[in-house]
Amino acid sequence: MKRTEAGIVASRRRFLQSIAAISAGLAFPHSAAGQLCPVQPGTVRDRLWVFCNPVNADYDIVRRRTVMSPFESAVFMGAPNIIMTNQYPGAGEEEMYRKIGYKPWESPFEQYAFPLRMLKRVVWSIVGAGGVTNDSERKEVMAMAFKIPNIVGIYMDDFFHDKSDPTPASLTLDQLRDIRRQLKGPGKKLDLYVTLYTNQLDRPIGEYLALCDVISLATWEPAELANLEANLAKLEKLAPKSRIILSCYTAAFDGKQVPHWTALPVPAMQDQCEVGLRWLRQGRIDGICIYGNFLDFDWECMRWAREWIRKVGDTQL
Amino acid sequence: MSNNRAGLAMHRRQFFQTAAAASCGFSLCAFGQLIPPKPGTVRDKLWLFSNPRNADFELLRKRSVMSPFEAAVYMGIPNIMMVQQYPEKGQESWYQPWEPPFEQYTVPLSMLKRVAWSLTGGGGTTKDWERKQVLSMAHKTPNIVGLYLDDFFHDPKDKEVASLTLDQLRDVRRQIKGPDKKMDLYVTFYTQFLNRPLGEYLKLIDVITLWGDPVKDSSNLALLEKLAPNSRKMLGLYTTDYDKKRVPAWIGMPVPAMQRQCEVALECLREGRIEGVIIYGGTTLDLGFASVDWTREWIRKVADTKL
Repeated sequence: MKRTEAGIVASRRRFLQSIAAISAGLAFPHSAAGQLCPVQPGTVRDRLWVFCNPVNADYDIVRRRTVMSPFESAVFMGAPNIIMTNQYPGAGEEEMYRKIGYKPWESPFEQYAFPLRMLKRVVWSIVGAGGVTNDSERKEVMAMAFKIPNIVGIYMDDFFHDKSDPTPASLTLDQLRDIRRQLKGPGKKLDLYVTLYTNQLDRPIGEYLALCDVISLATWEPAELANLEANLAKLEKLAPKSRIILSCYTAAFDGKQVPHWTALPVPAMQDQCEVGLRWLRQGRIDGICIYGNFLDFDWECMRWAREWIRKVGDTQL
Repeated sequence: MSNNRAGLAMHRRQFFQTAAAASCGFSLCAFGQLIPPKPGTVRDKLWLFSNPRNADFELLRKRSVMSPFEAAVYMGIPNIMMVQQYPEKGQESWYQPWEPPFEQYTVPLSMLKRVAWSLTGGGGTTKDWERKQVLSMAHKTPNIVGLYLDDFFHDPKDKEVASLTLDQLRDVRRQIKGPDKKMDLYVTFYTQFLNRPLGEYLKLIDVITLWGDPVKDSSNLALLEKLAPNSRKMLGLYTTDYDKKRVPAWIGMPVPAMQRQCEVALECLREGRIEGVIIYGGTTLDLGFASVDWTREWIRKVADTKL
């Protein structure tokens, strides 16, 4: 910085302005209803998300109780943005879920949004886990999204179906176009988010992806984490206009063991977070999303991720 | 405000100190995103009374989906009372009590400043195994500062005076005042008990939380001060209005009554007559009551002022 008289005045003014901004920024949430830290635009934290289902939704694959709610998970991890994805017990799982007292989110959904209003951004599913969707839920979620200021988008989880399935996705292209028309109408604008697994990258789904604003790239098989770089490159080709979020699981899947999900080894957690951060700084991705269910298991990879967020969260991009 | 040079220099220094502290606080609080309350402020003395999610369905006849932690953060309250409650027969589908291991519930609560956990829960219910587990957890969990006895004193027509005998209470006290971590014993005390001979019990209590009809003035507190001069006190404020002949028995407290009791409590806090204000509660905050909105806004305004 040049040490001219004007420069000193200017930097003094900036210094005072920044102090005022800091105190104003802090004073706001400190004195605001709620006690959450402010999220500074342009920081890593501003781009961090957690993905959450209703409490205990993963019981079938982790076989352990969790008691942590989505909002609790977001605050615990230090992530100001949340993806809320509904989940209904799958066929044959009803009894197991009944026994543990599991409940999907039930209408009116707005009630669940009370604490979420304190977060910066919320995205809510119209297609839930397993690609499940129904007319009435889509309608209610869309109405809520238009009303609640910090709901910035609509989510479609497990949207693309197995190759063996007669329908390629949970909604037709026409249905998707209709949703998009609603989201981009004259009123509040909302984004359309979708889950895309790395093993779906070779599928002919370009037309669907072209209708999505944000693609959340998820790696289901831990071995596939070694190919993150190649997979991102593929996605950039497949959907050049969409923004991308890197989805990071905290669990390692093995279909042959019970439970199917166990703690992801710390090095794998570290790799995906650090790769994600590099891409975020390069502007190749728009956000990093930590899988936010069962964070009260206190797995080492979760402790690592939380500490990592603490360290990098407030650094500038 | 003084307008001399020294005064100006002082204000300037204070301004920079505040800004510096604020910026330090920013990174410190970022772990878990919660800003810790500043000692000596009103916020530091605010508590939330919380039961398991939806535990008051019988009284409210409206679903609540908020967790205790969500409720505390929503209100801007850094301290929480976690009070167990079991459904009565036939009401099991309404809500789930907290089930062991209780430690799992403390993961988000670790971000709050202080937690008090119940040994006797709603309706005065207490179980040997639960007391044992809660006491063990409390010794291990750094921010659990006390044990709570809810609905502890029974109706005069009941043959037991309280949920625990004096000997049991002395034993609990021995465990929480031992050589290791020291904790406080809290109790719910309704205004209708003020004329009962409960002095022996109250002597064993560190903090008496006074609850009753909407607080209109501090006259009941004055009676309690006479009855238990050595205990610390807190005032409990409901956000609901109770009428047992009505269904639902609880509806939102009218805002003027809510305002009155908050202002009386704040005055008592500033006078040093009480050491905390407790807002009820986790089960009533996502139901759209105007009293809750008003209280939330009131907390926003007064919480960071100095006592």
